[in-house]
Amino acid sequence: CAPTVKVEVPDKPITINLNVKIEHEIRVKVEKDLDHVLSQDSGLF
Amino acid sequence: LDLASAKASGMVGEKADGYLGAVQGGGEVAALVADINNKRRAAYQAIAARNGTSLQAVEALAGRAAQDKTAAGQYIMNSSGQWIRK
Amino acid sequence: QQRATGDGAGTWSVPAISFSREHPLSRLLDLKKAFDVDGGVLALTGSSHWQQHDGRYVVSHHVEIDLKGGSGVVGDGLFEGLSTRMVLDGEGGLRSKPARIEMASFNNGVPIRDLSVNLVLKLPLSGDRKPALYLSDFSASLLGGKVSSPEMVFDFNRSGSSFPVLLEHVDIEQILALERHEGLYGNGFLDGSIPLTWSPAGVSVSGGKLAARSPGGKIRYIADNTTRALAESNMSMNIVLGIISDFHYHQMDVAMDYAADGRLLMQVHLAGNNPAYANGRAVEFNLNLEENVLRLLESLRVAGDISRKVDERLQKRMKK
Repeated sequence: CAPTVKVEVPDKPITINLNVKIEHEIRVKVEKDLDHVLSQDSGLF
Repeated sequence: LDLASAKASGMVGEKADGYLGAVQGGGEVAALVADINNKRRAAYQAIAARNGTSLQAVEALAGRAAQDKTAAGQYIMNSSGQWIRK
Repeated sequence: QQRATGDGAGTWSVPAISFSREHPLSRLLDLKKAFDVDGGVLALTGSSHWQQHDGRYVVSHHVEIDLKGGSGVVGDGLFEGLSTRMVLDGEGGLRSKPARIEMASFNNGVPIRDLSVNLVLKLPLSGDRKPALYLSDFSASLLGGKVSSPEMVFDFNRSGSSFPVLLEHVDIEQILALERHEGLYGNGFLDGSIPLTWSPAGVSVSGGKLAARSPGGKIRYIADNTTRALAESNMSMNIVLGIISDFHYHQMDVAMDYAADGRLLMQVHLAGNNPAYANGRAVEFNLNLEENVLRLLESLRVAGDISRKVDERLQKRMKK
């Protein structure tokens, strides 16, 4: 996500426009896989 | 020496990067930590590959989950690298 | 039953039933998949009267429900401390007098506490009419603040309905903590009004407005090494990371839209500065944020062990 930044005359405010897309899909899958590994019978935690 | 008793007696603790750390030294503890961490790394690599994400991302999520699930009174490492009891 | 006029009455009562994991409600009733009550005490009493009116029998019912400390599963979440005393009357269908319902907690990823509402329930007993729920004075606490709505209608006979939902004093620190993003911190308190549209297909919002209470607060993002490495090559990103490493905002306005599939779109406008950046020069921040709330809740349920507990309690039912 490339932000655009306008830095003009010192007294004017710096304007920042930023687009952010938060992806949860992968995180949910990873956390589910980790949940199995973290559960007691894995013996690793 | 098994992991559960090592944790219960405060010899090892969970670090934020998803790996086990030795709170107190000793050959046996070091051997346990190395063995467990190798197995964890293999598990993390498999999860990263299966979900198309980086090993580091899986390690960070594992660290957070492991520290959240650490029992009260056992050790976790805080962001400035010190062992603290939960 | 008096034979002469054909009128009659019958009363029935179900003494207090105690629900438990071993004896959940689903043992007594065939319940929809993701709903069960496995805690609490329920007492039911009722009576029915039938009278002959020009050759036709009219049956009227009277039912009293008393539930205390109900707990269980609804949807993907867990609830506890559900209590109500409800009186229903009617002929073809049952209609309740306004009943106060209280629930100590509901958690489907984000813990919600001290829910309370007044409910009028219309329950058709036959024909193709569907139930309708008329809620008033709903309130609950979540994320350090309060959510409330003067009136909500869930009428399954209509295509949908809209109603305002108000948020007060919601803690930005707790909202950001939900994201569980390493290095992200913020504080301040949000108030706002969210026009919610409900339909049997789901919930949506258009034109939600939130604003931070004065004096505002701080947003801090300490980038991890990979993000910092990325920033090396991108001057704008470097400026952004520099500013938000310790951004003090005095104004935050949020416009939000939410679709039934979970997609949340937010336009966040922040005005403030980083005192230690470009000697505190003023900054206007326009952030377009998109995320899927349903995926976020799912991730929170996994992290918070909620999904494992829900599965266990529903699993127990399978082993009947």
